[in-house]
Amino acid sequence: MGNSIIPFTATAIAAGVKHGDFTAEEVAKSTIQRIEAIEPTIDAFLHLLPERAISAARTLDAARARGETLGAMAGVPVGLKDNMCLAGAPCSCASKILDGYLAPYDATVVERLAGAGSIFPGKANLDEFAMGSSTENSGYKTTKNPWDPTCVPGGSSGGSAAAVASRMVPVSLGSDTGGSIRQPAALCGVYGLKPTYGRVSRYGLVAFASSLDQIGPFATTIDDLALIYNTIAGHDPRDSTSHAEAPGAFDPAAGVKGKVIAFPESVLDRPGLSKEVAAATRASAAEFEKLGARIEPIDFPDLDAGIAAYYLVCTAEASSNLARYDGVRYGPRVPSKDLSHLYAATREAGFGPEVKRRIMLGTFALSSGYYDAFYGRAMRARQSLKRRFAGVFAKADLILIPTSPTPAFRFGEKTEDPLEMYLADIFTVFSNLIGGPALSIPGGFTASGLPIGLQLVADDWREDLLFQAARAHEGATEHHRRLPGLSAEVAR
Amino acid sequence: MSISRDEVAHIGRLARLDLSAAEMESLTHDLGEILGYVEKISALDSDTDEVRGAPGAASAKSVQATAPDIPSPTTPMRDDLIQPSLTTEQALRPSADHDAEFFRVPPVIEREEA
Repeated sequence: MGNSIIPFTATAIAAGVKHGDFTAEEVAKSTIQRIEAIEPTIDAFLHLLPERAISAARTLDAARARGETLGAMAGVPVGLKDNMCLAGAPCSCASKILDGYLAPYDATVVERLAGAGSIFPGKANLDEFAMGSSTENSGYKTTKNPWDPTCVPGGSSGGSAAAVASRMVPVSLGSDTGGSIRQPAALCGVYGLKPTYGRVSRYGLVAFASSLDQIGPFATTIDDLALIYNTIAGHDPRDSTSHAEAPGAFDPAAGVKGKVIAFPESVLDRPGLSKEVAAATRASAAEFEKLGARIEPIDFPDLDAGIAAYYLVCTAEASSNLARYDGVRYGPRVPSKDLSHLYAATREAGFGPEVKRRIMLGTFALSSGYYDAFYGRAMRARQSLKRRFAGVFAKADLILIPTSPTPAFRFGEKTEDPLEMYLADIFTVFSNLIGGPALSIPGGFTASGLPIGLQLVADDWREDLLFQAARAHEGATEHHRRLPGLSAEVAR
Repeated sequence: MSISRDEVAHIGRLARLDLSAAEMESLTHDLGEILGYVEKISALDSDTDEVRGAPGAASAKSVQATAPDIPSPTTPMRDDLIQPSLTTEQALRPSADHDAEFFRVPPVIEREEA
């Protein structure tokens, strides 16, 4: 099915296009063929943009023909989560309230990727406004897990993760507010990075919880992950929270010899944690030890308290950020003779149940009489967590924990109980609360063939350590090489 | 902690959501459950005197203490210059109802009858 001369990884595509082994147009067409073969089973995309991708690829080929030097991502197809602006393309955030909305400008990440030669074949499905852990909260469609189409791909960046895992695109972007890159990466068996808060510009990312949101990449190899990360990272004058310093390069050969990896083994005894996830985490700790790292047992700060603080902070910020969807400036409007009823009727019709639930919780946490007991307390808890983790990173380079307490679960399994869905983020939310970077890596498979993800966590701005350790692990294991059945056929 | 249906109705008005009776019912249940769980935050209660927002700003000290080779984050400032931005036409285009210059909405203040 797929064009056999076109390789799959971003690194190989960029090298081949630059060298002239194949054209960017051939890459674009082969990507569209892959998508046509796989997308009907997976439903990863909300909008497909084949003409736009081919035309961008032709522009790139013309530039090469004129002798221009191509960028680091020459011809590389990138899937974009549908909460990032691509000028002239839909940006729905999987919400009915933005049905038909076309982004009037490019996000900074899009501008940088396009500048480096990337093409954008489609915009990927998500939980509405990135609120959820299964992509079941999308207002439009249900994305399937490439390893088992009866299971969820995780969320909220479920479309971005599934598109890479099923080999429709080599890399994609997601956003991570409480685990929305790392958890779907784990459930789909790919790499997923949440960079340090401030590392990647949020300009053009539709805001959910502004002090927690961060854009990051998905990929099937560490080289690909580093390639796209280096393209999107760095200061942007249009995002005042973006960090002034450029990220440091990582040394792919440095390994983990002598590095101290904190391993809070007691979290593996947590009720509800899958035994197979626990076993894979222990096996990976042993693997890192074999690679020369020192595994240091630690006690982990209270995970339930972290979830509690997270759901107060993120809902409070969401209730404020989502106040802008009122039917006046964008999206469909429910007409009314009275302005305040126009707002309330438009919002009632446009938002799905989980978004309403979070707006309600956040409005409550910020309301008069409750502010200090809820939001104020959550912000103090956040400071307390930050101090506890500073203590951990004073003694360790990295932390190793599971990404998700379970492998992919079945559709509908957690939709009846919002709280149970929130607990899917138990191992991921603390990184957003403290701001530091974390990376989910393929860490094995269950007996039934579902992927298991493991998480490496580093101190602020130390993405280089995450790449270094993940690269050593990648070289010593085979987990990342396994392909889901349907994609293996297309690849052949 | 439990939350009453009246409180849910009040929050719904503050949040500008025209909630149905059935939604009011299920939100009263769900918010009660979630707020009960939120009590677990007490494990992180501490005597912190400072409450700060963005983690970047809050972490400046600890970053310097643990990784001296990594520059501490500061808020970069830019010159206060007029930059290109969306045109009026571009900004109005996604609206369901607008004229050449403005978003059109129902009257907020009724004209007094003479």
